[in-house]
Amino acid sequence: MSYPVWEVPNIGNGWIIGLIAIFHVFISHFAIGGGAFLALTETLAYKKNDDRIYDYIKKHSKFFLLLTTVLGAVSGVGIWWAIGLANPSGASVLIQNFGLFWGAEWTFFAAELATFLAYYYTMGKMDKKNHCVLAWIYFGISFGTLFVINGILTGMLTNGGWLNAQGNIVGTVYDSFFNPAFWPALAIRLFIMFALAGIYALLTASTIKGQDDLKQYLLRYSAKWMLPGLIAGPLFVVWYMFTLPPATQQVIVSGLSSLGEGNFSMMAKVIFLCIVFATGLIGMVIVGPFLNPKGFNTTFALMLLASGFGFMFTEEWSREMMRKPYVIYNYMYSNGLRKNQIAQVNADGFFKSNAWARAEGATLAKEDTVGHGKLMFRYQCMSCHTATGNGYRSMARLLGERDENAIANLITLMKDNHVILSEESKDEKGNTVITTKAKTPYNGYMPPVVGHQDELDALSKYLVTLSKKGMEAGAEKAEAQMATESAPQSTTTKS
Amino acid sequence: MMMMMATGQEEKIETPPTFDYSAETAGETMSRRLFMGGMIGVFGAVMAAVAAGPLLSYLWPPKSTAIKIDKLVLGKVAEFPAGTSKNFKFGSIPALFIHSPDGSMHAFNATCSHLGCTVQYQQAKNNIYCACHGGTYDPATGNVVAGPPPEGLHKLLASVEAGEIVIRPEKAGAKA
Amino acid sequence: MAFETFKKMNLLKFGYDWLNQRVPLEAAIKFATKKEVPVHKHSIWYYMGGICMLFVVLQLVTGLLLMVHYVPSYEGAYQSVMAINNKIPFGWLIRSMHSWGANLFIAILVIHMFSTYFMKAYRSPRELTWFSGLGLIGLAMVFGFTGYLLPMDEMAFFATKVGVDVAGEAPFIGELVANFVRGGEEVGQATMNRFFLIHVCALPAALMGALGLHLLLIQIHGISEPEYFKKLSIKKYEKFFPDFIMNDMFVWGGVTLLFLAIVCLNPWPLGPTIDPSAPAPIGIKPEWYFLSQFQVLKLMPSQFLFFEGAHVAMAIIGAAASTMVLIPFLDTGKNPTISKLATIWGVVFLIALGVLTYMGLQV
Repeated sequence: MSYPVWEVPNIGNGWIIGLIAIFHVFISHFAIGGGAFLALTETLAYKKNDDRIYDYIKKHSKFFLLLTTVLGAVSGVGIWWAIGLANPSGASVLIQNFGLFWGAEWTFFAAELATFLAYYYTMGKMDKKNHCVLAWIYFGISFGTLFVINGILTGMLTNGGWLNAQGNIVGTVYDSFFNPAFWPALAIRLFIMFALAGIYALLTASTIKGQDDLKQYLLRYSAKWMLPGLIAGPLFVVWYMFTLPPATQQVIVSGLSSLGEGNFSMMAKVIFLCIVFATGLIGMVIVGPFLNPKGFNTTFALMLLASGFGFMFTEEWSREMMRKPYVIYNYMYSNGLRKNQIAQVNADGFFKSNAWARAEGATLAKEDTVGHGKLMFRYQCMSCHTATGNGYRSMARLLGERDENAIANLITLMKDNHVILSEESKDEKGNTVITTKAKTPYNGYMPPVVGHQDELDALSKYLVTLSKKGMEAGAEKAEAQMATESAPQSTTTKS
Repeated sequence: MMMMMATGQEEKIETPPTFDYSAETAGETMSRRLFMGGMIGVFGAVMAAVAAGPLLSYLWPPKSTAIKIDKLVLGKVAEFPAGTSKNFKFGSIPALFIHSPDGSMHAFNATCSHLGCTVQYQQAKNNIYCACHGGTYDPATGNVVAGPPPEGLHKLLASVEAGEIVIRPEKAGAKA
Repeated sequence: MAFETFKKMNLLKFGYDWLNQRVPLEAAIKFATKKEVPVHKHSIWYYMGGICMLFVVLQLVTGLLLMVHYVPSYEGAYQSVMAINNKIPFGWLIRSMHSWGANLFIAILVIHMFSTYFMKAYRSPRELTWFSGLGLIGLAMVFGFTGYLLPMDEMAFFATKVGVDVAGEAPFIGELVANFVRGGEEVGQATMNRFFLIHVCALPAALMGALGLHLLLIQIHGISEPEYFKKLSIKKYEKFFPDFIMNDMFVWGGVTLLFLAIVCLNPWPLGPTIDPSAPAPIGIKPEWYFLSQFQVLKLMPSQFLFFEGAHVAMAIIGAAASTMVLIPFLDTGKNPTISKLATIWGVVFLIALGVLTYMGLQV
């Protein structure tokens, strides 16, 4: 809560992280799955002692080198730039909490690059057996990068014993790292990586010219890299789902069951699409390269790659949305507000608690409530909402026909958005049963609004100007002002 | 795209490969018929599984909207002189009200216990009759008098309150 | 024992033999495997017909499913579509697929038509294939027009009103035609009945006929080869069955994924309910595939020389459309100049369609 806000119109700053991250994941997953592919394929070439497969590996690894070391590394740095700008609070917690692990991650990453360069440039110059070992070493090191980042990523959602219910840190970083979702998520990512490695390999294999038998053999071989995900993937996905926080599980279940009922959440839609893409992709690989390798060409391979990207996009998007409304589950909300900070901010007031908002607020006139409200919006809402127009979760669109009263009521409701009511009752056997229920319908989707009542009022005043009615009123006012200003006998002394 | 096998063979003469993968590929290929069948089978099974759930839930009839009521005012007593009857809906249940010639009033769930037709009161014979298969019930108790019904009609309570005929379920909460 | 025989028998072979004795399965497969599809740099356009087929199937299936819950009445239609959108499990998906599918179907049909046009596939002996294809596009547009009314939301109501009024502008018989289509003077229950019947009975039957003819003719004549390909000394082919069909299935998979992504992320909206006395909503315009024709009508002054502007516009639209009908007789492939002219005309036609549609979208 103590950093400035990066305003990105239309898509919001979250999507800047999202787009870079999804692109990065699509390449970095290939870097690891592709490592396994190179190692196994080179073992195959070694066993068969076949130069034609070696030639293919050479071609494939050149593509691999360019893609992973250039685009993969650049986009990885891009994520750091983006989260540093868009969510500095979250980034700082990640760095402070996982410092040691980031060190390990970057060590693995540097070693990964070095090993791959060694692997690529010693190809054909080194003893075949040793070179094959080098391929396996590369895979081992790249797996290390996955191992570390997987702990950090899953730790952001299922942080195990790291926190207590109030969002205070009680455990060690290892509780957060080796969290309940660690192993299933690791397995799922490996399956996805194998599948992606297969899809990328289909692309390079489809460009083989003049050696139909080899091409068809390699196409079928690459297609089989889908198998682990097809067979064991669903099991691990179920395991993973059971490790999620109960509230998240509830949102998924209610979202998926109300998927049929029109007003389904975005998350359910994206999970549904993710399932569709996974099955569709496997179906395409079956009818395409696996059953009909001789009809398979580069255009088809690019179609598969695009579908694979669609799968990764929906998979990463839904995983991010599962964490809503937190950036670090149960600890920090997506707007940088820490859960254990709520009472303090409500007591002190928002502008007093947030240095940047206070500094900006000091430049405004005291009676400028709309201006103060706009600052409230920037610092508390803009990490997920855009203000005007038809942008991502735009308030102008979401507020719709709501009037001043409705908006004020909404803000009052949002103040208690973190409150969980528990109710004691007796079941048939006379045991005490505690049922918990969120006080507001937005719980699990949005953070609470914090601040003094006058600050909340300022926020709703500002929101009114964004709503349809407010916009219309604003336009009329502006027109009236224009009319008076342009009137020849205007007495305004404004320059 | 498919290449002519001839070109592949020309390549082989130039750079003799260690393996001829076409043999290996052919070896693992099923016979054409099985091949087609297997393809359609696998693809169909995966797709059908994904599609079946949503499709069934779309086609599944919505939850029955049975209306349950505790009380119904049928009308003024004067509208139903002795010997008359009226078929009406008690919530979503078809029901039958009889003002017997002897002056007593009865109401039943008018669903015949045989195959679920709606029964009617026959004034001339003073019985409840089901036109579908000839089941006959006693107009006072609802017990079976003749015909195929396995059991009597379920009773409803008919009473007069302030000059109006009021129908209630036999027991509060019991299945009418 | 029967079980022993059963065990020895290859079940699939048994099924195949059983069928083959009753329908000419072997002959059909023989025919299909004999048929070849040319492989060249423009082969990608051969998949457009298959994608059109995919959309026909999707439209039929989703249309059937929609009819399970749809109520074709002036008062009840909007409510029932609302229920499909908001209450019935996956109703939003089915409806969105049907609405999006209708638009994408017409878009793919246009691509399919122009790809065959530029590959000169309309030439002898494939004139009838070309005509049946044109007929299918016409059917698809009537499908779109009649289907647009059925949800009975504001846009549907006014678009239909305006659309039928345009038909009423036609010289001499216009008003008669408009009243006939509407089933009266105003858009109402009678219009609804007519449009529903046309949309779910008459058109599907006509579609089956035209599509059957189209596919049959393609089987008879084989896939058309472009001129340059015919002259090649070494030509590459792949078998229609199973190779090309398998490729087709792969493409269908990809298209379906793209289609579902569009449908899920942008579900088709349902406007407010109709109020016949309300003024036409701002920004009302016909579906995009009618925009080019609509734009010609708009651009024409009310009086052009001695004729009414609308009549001239209709004559222009009619003349342009008839060039597409007449092209197989004009460009028979014997005269290279005419062949080149036909290509140029195709480009002009396509650009005009694009520009007019774009202009129509701007308003």
